[in-house]
Amino acid sequence: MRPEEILAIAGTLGDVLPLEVLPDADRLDLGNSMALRKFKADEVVYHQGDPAAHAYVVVDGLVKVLLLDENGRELLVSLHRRGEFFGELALFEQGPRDGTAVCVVATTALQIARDGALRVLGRNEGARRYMFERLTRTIRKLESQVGDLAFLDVASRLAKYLVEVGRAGKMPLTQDDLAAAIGSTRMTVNKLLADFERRGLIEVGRRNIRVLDESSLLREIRA
Amino acid sequence: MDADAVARVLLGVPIFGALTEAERKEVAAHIRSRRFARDEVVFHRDDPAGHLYVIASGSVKVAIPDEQGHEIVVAIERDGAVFGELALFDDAPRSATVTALSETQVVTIARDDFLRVIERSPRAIREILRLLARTVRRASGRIEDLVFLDVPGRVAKCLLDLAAANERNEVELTQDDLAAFVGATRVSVNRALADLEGLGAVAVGRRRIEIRDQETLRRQVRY
Repeated sequence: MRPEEILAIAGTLGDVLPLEVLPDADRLDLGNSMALRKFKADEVVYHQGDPAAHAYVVVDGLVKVLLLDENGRELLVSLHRRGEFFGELALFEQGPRDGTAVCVVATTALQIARDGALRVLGRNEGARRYMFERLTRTIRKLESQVGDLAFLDVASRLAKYLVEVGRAGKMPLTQDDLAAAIGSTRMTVNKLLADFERRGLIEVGRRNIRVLDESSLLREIRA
Repeated sequence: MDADAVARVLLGVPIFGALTEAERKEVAAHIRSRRFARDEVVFHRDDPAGHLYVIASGSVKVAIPDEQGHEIVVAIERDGAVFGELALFDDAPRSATVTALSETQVVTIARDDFLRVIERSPRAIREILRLLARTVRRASGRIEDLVFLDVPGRVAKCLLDLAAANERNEVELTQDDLAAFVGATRVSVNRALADLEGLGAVAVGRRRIEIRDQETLRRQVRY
């Protein structure tokens, strides 16, 4: 694919990815450093421990990032939707991937090579500001997750997670995903979902959970 | 602190070490130094933010408090480390509370003074991005600990971290402090400490814990 075509696709993300802050020369440089990748549902984009040289931006679909321990247990640290970066730490640190990125549904993503991205970041203050703010937001989100894990019980964590993810859009997550996201087991999550559903707070479908009554769900969150 | 001492502190910090000497002098001209006694709070969560901190000597804990007065420690930082860096990139209030663990000397620099100098140095910008990437990893590492480590593992890890921050095999804290550090109850922390004492890894005194065998302690940190 030619850089112009890739840039045209990247341009469709204008509402979530401010490419227009870049002057034409930088945009072209970035276009030359990008490739368009298509993944099937459940396909792995990269594995924990892989050498890392690219960042990704979701064009369409949904990606989850997991941390795996030696016993095969999974922790779902983040979900990435249209216009969102993942794997971007590879741009700033040498070193292996610290998580595994898996497509939840069929996903198209822009793959950005480190050198090109760093050149553009080095030249362009707007791009830097954007990246600084993004990393800052990621850190705040992770820190609030630390607080949730320490202070909230499982039911509260699940309610909070459902509200947060539900607000961002559709939720094609399995119960295993939910368990991995809140640090619990599938069995516990299953029981809690059934309880929330019985009380009319949510509707549980196959790989799809819909929040019906957000304010009641919010009241389930107790420290 | 005199100008030479400030210059020495800055030189040891990667972000400032990446600057030219003239740029570093410019930063140093805007720096203020402050001292904190043990247990003194440097800033509280939700305080307005606007300064970056560098530890000249001593150590601090970065913790997320809840409304009931519990806290969970996100990190322990010692001399040469930077904290409060999120304040540089967005206008949100402080995300965590920082408290001096020992007599601590810091230098602070206001956001605008910092950014004005740093913006001109591509190497320093890279160091900031690396610092943010490290903070992201640190936060996801804490989440991993909370989900994958049991309480004895978290206690062992916390004692090792504190001992490393103090540079000696003794940490001064109560069992309540320790419970807060690892996000667990006092009862389960007591039990974990008794087990570690039985293994000869630690000796528990009043308001202090001595580390007798780091290797044994390390073996308790099982993911």
